[in-house]
Amino acid sequence: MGKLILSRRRFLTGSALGVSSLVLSGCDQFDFLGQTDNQVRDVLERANSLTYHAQRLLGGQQALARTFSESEIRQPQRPNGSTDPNSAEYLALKANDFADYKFRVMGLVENELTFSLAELRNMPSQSQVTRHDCVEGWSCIAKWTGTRLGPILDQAKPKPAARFVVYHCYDSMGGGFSGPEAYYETSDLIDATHPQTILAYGLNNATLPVSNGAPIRVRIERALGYKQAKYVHTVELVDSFAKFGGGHGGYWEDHGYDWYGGI
Amino acid sequence: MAVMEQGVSGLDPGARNAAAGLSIVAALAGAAIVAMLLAAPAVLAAWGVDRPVDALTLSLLAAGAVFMLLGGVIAVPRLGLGGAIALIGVLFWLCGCISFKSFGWVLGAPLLLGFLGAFTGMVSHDRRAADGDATLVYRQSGLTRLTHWVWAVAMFFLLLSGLQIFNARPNLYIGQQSGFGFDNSILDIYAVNGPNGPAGQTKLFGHTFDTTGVLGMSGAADRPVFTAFPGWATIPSYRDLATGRVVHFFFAWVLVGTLAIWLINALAIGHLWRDIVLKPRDLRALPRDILDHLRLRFAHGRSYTPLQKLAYFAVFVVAFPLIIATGLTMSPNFDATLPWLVDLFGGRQTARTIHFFTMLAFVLFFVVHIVMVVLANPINELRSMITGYYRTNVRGREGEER
Repeated sequence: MGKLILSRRRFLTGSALGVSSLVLSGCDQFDFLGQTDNQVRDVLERANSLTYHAQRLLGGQQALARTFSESEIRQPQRPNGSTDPNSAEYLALKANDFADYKFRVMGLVENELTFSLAELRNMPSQSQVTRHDCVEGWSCIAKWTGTRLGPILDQAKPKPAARFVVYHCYDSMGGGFSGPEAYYETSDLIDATHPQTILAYGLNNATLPVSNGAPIRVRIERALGYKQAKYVHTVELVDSFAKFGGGHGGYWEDHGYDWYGGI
Repeated sequence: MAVMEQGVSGLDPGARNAAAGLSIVAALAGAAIVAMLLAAPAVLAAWGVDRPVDALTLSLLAAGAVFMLLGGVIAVPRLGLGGAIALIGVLFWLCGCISFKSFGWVLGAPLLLGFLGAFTGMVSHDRRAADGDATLVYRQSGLTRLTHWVWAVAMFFLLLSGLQIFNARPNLYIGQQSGFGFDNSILDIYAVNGPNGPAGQTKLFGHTFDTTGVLGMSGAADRPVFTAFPGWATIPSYRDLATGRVVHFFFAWVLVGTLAIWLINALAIGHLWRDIVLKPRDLRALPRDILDHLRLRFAHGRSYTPLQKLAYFAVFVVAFPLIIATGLTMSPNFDATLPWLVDLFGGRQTARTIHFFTMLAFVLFFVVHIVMVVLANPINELRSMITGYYRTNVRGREGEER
């Protein structure tokens, strides 16, 4: 029993130290996890990659987001993030009701393409009443109308090396040490060509308002709100998104959020 | 395979006197300190304790003194129980020290004396049990012990990172969506500008409570923090949703992975069926077991008592599956894969609400769990969850389920 008592004693000492550090955590024992370059955080972040691969593997890559009936739209779509971009380029487009807006497809494609807003509106349209889930925790049901991104990418003929789609936007976020940063997002090709992924120009049976991303907002219906880039002007196909922004695949991703955004 | 153990010593009146005496002396010293903090701070200032004391610290210290006194008195007729109650007092006193940020010898003295008293009582009670009918049985398998401690760590991080995530939208709603143009909120934690400056308020089912200092507004008066849950309850301590999610999802995988391993093993060796699922005879014995628990007389058998089975059944068969499933249905991608599950819960926002209240149920379980371990002979309980060996006090035929 001597051995046993010793191990118990060692355990009690260890657990007393552990418990007191946990009690004190109240304060700031784990704040180091907030540093995005911390090695422990890097290990914890691998769980996000596990989630991504598990959901892609088990979840059905083409599974459709749940849709609702129009009667379940009970409120306007809540705007969040940028609601009124103020770059000169965007203001000029807005002043002209986006008549001069051009949507570009570029990067690793055989055919680079450009569409006007009228051309996008004349393409086959699709409407879906879906639930918008913000990373903060709230949800809002709205009807989105647009044209599918998948056929547009097909028309552009992605090269075999293309793995991701970068969505370039007109708006900027933040005003910290580095000043305003251009909003951008990325997704894999599965999300980009998903049957419900649309370039939305309509919201709740009206033209998409500026506060919700006019003239074009991408809807990736199985992902959180920050993946639904607003004020999109260009999609660029790439083999890696390391050279864009902070290299993490999006404005919020560069600020510590997970790239996948499906959970 | 019961292992008989030689008794170390019989009932030792010296141990009883020491346990009772130390606890009572600690309690009296503690009471004197509380009284001086209240009425004569100048005396303590001479001893180096010269900071103003707040109500929370005073309450914790006072509760510590009361429980240590209670434990010391109860130790005379019931040594083990008295030691355990004195230990609760010691823990209260420790929380008071942490709240006061004082670890000097003035507040440390009752802590040390009380701990010695509590420890003496519990150890000598545990040894005395060895001289009677008690036998050491191998009760907890290695896998159960390992997963238990992994869950303890995982649940700690899940709770604190979960409160961080909650703080990003400190409301709970019923239904698929969050009401901005209509009201379907059942919980709302926020700060207001009141007549006496900013205040924290919590609105639950239409009733508003002032929760300044804890919910809605917390921190020092000159540097208030306007988060729903205070910084000491979240990881990180400041507002950082991104990091909260990183921590939460990592430990969610840890929890689910270890639960899966445990479940496969528990099914394979019959642990789930034998020790956790309630049988008809457990249900018949339940009322008496509840009475026994109320009288703080605990049966230490090879298996769990009916009330314990009920508690662990609720945790493993109801609470864990519920908190995992509601967590998953908050994932928009998961909802595309299994849309019926989120509908079963009544919508994503209802699922989030259920997730939150299940968390509260786990917090309640944790408190009761710790109190029961302390009251039921913490040395025995801790030993069984560390080494696997448990001292039983129930006579029975070899191999009979208890």
